This record gives sequence, C-alpha cells and structure tokens, in this order.
Amino acid sequence: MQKAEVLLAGLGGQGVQLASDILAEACTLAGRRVSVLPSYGAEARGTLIRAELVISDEEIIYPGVLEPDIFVGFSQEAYDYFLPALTGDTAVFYDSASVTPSASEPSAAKQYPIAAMEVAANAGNPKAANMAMLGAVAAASELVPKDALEKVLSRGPKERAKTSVMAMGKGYELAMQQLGT
Amino acid sequence: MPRNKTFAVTLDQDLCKGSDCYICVNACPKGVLAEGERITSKGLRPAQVKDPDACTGCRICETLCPDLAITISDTSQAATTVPAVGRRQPASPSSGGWTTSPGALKPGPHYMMGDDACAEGAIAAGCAFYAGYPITPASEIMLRMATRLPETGGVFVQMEDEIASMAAVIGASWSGLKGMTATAGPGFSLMMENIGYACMTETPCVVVDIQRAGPSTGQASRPASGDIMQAKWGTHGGVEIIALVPWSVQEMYDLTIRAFNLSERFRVPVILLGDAIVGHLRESFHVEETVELFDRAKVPGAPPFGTEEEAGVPPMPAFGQGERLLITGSTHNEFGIRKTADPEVQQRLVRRLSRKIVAHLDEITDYELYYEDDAQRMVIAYGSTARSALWAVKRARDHGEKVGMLRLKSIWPFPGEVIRQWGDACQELIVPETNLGQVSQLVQQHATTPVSLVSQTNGEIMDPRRVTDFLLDGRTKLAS
Repeated sequence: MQKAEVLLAGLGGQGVQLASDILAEACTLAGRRVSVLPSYGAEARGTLIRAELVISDEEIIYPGVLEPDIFVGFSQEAYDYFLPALTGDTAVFYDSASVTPSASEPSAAKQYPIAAMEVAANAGNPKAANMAMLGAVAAASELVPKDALEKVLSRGPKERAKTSVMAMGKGYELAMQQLGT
Repeated sequence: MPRNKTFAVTLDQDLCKGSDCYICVNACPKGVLAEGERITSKGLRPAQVKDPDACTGCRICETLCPDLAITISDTSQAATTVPAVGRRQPASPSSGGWTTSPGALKPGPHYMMGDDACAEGAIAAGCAFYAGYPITPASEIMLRMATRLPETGGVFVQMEDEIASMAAVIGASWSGLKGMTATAGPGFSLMMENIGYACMTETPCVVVDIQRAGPSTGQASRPASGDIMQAKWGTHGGVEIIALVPWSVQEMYDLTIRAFNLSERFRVPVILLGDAIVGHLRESFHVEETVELFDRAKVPGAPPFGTEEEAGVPPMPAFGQGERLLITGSTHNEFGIRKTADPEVQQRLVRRLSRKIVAHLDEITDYELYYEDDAQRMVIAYGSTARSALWAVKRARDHGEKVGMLRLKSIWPFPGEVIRQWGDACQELIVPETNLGQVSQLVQQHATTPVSLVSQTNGEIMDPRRVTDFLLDGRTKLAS
C-alpha cells in the first residue's frame, strides 16, 4: 500500500487551507484517495493553523496525520510548533524568507529551504507562495503528480493561473535540486 | 407620481376563512381589500377585492395571508410576474410512501467538505426550505443551501437567530415542504424549545448539529461530541427523538437523506449529529444514480393528529390546500383541539408520540460491525471518533488482541438491545468518546459486562494512539 501523510502549517491567511484543497483535488484527479482535515482557530487571520492530508491507494480510516512524511512550514510559529514532534524521516520544507531553521533538533535531518515567497513574487503574484510549496511537495512524493497539480491550477482566471503554475513549477525545481533526484 | 405598473389582485374566496381572519383587510395600506358581504355555504364571510386599481403591488396581503388565498400579479409586464421559485406553493394531496428519485448531483465520485455533502444530501432528499443562522462549524451547510435552494426551486431564509430558524422550519413543514436547519452547540441550545414543539406537533424536519467543543461557546472550530445527551434530553417533557451520527463525508450525504426519510416516515424532527471533524473534513464520496425517498401522506380533510393505532403515524394535511388546521404545542385531540386538562387524551398522545418511534426500532436502528467474529472485547464507537477507534482496533489486532468494533450510525433511540447482546458475548466493552462519558453511560445501563470509557476532551480529533494504548494495555483505565 502506498500512503503519504502531509502536514501543512502556517498562519491564518497564508493560503494553507487553499493549498491543501488544491493538493487534494490534484491527487483525486490522479485517482488516489485523499482526506483533508483542516484545523484553525476562530480568528480569521493570524492564528496557527494546519491542514492534515492523508493520500493513499486504499480507503482512509483515520483521516489525521500521525507520522508526517512531509511537513511544510509556512511560518516560524508553525515551524517551531511542529518541528519537535517530527521524526527524522519527515521531509521538512520551509519558506526561507519567513523561517529561521533550527539545527539543534534531532528531527532536523531532512530540511529543505524553499524560497517560496521570492519565487512567487518573481512569478508575478507574491500570494502564490503556497503554490511554490505545493511544487516542493510534489517533488518529495510520487503520490502527488505534478501534472495533475498543473491541471487544477490552470482552472482559475488566466493571469492568476499562469503565476500559480509558474510558482509551483519553480518550487518543484528548487526541491528537486535539493532532494538530488 | 404617475404609476407605470398595474396589478391584478385575485382572492380565492373558497380558501379565505373570512371574518375569522381579515388580516389582509387590516394590512392593506391602500384599502384594496375589504370585509366581505356574501356569506358562503361554510358559514364564512370571505374578504373581497374592493378597489383593485389602488393596488401598489407591495404584496403585504399575499405574504401575510395564512391560507394562500391572495395572488398579486404584475399585469403591466407579463414577463415579470414572480416566478414559482421562492414563492409558496400549495401542496398537493398524496398518499405518501417510498419513491425513487433521480437525485441532484451527477452520479459518481465527488470531492467535497462534509458540510457541503450534507447540504447536497438535503437537496437530493427533496428539501425545499432552509432557515438558519450561521455558526462555525455548520456555516458551510447554510452557505451551500443559500446557493442550491434557489437553483432547485426552494426557499432559503437567513433568520435573526436559531429560535426563529427552528420555528420557520416547522412552519414550512406544515405548508407541505421538507425543511431543514443546521447549527452547532450554542444554536442547538436555542432550538431546544421549538424542537420539543416539533415533537409535540409531529412536524417532520431535519436539524443538523455540527458539534463543537463546549460548554457554552467553547472552541468554535474544534470538535467534540458533547451534545449526545442534549439531542434527546435538551427539550423538556421527555420525548423520543431520532438522531443519526455520520463518520465520513459519504455519511454526511447518505445520513442526511436518511434523516429526511425518517422524519417524513415518523413525523418527527430528526437530528443529524455531526461534529467539526466530519463537518470540515474533505474527502471523496460516491453519489448513486437514484435516491430512495419517503414522503409523508398528505390527506386533505384528514384529522392531522388522528390515528387509532397505538404506534400510528397520522397523515399530515398542509396549509395551502384550503385546510383549516389547528396546531398547538399543548395537549390536543386528533383535530388539534386543546385538551389541556384531559388525563386520557394526554396519556394517549404522550404514549403514541413515544410508541410510534420505539415500536419501529428495527426500521431506525443502524450500525456496522468490524472484526466481530472472534472478538473477546468490543469497542463501541460513533461519529468521527469511530475512525480513530477502527484504526486503533486494527493495530491492536496486529498485536494479537481479539478485539472487535460496533459502530453506531443511529444513536437515538439508543439501540440498547444490540448493546446488551454484545455485552453478553464479550468480556469488556470499550467506549472512546470526545466528551466526559455520555454514550459510555448508556452502554453501561444496557450491559452487564464491564464498560470502560476512553475519554478525550482537548478539542482535537480522538487520538487513535490513545485508544490503541488502552486496548494493548488490557487493563481498565480511564485516560486523562
């Protein structure tokens, strides 16, 4: 059985929930089973939020993330909160613009900075940083198909779709370089 | 000011109850309607249209008329007459029963949030009325209904609060429509009085409670199952109620349809007890080609509370069919006439309201069994917690533990007999809950075997490892 647990975390407003929905839609398109468990505070912006994704070939019983294969930290708060609970097997992606990585954690072995905000700004839409992170997730797991992500992202308004696809592709590239595959 | 619009005022004198009412006569700001002069064979004096030219088309009379006797149409622009969508439609007589409907969504796989699936289930079930007040984590149901009902010819109203929402749903149901509201704990508390009224007046309707961590406003966006007891005991006087507990997006869809069917079948409010997990969870689910639907019998002229059967469900005539209905939350006879000091009527009514549900447990009770064949211990779980529990049961079995699981899909009326049987067959029953022990108490009542509670009240989904630890530990221990 192929299965991936993905934990996305950041601050309310950074597009964590949207990213989780797009990721799930792409995986659904590719014929996988997905569950997305969102979690957020009552405040609309600024609280620590997370989205737990389980991607699998089989029926998903427990929809939460217990041992993430991939963790994406969109903000320092999210990074600091979740990093201590991760095992050394988790691939950690963080936005180098907003996160100062911790080297002392034993779980910090597989950490990959992704200049998501910079990539998004270069693509023409700073808000697409979350899409750059999705590209990194696609690079790290073969359960997440890059072409399906592109298909989902292309559905929006033309200009936005273009910047989103571009940011995602660049994030994918940056991750691939570091993952060495 | 020159008038560029003209209106035709039609008043159906057969529907108007006349001098008993005259709401329209008093309400019309222009004196278009007047008290009647003719006395009908029914002994009524219906209102009359006295000065139709003065009508400004404000439609106050049309809106207020309890008998739908008045129709205002814009004659200056034939094309701009109010479409049937959003307008009250008189219900037509029908003998009710099961039918097969094509459903509303495209058959096949869909990916959406549990709350959205619940709304789609309602649409598929023929829900034509939604009144509600937004509240996390149930707001998405309301949002989707606000879009979907106008598309499907229904009526959506945002009310001033949950008390009014419940009242409006009851009213819609008595006009022959299937109605629903959705809320979370704090709003559910406000609905309690009218849920009791719906029970007493035998009004079919669906109430969705997407439970969140309480007490009070608690944690708005976090899950818990603290409203299990409230669903049954929250309204006063003691009622039998039906409540269903979905564990997935699929069941948010399926059980919403079932909730409508049960409410129509037994003329009761049916409660769908979701929680912030299944409400906000996104996953794919499958939509069948057709939907089996049950519709109430609508018999014009039939006594709306009249049945000789001890466990009978009377047919339900509706307003808008020329019916003159008395509906009261006070003790009443078969015609709805108050009998508030008659011990016999009270006893018969209260017994029937209970018997019509309790005598049909077989039709209502719904559960699933997992790994039950060799089980020495059984986990009893429901709702989203059952997903954590099943995960834990699998892990425990990997370690050689002979443990099975019983998942409740209906929680009220409580399936005590099922619990008793599994209690007799096993050495221990284990109930994981995201409250301080509600269903575990019920299980304890019905089982002679030891019952253990695995409780978690931190506003998170039940940690499956907590349940696994308990199962592998093998000893009776209350988790913190």
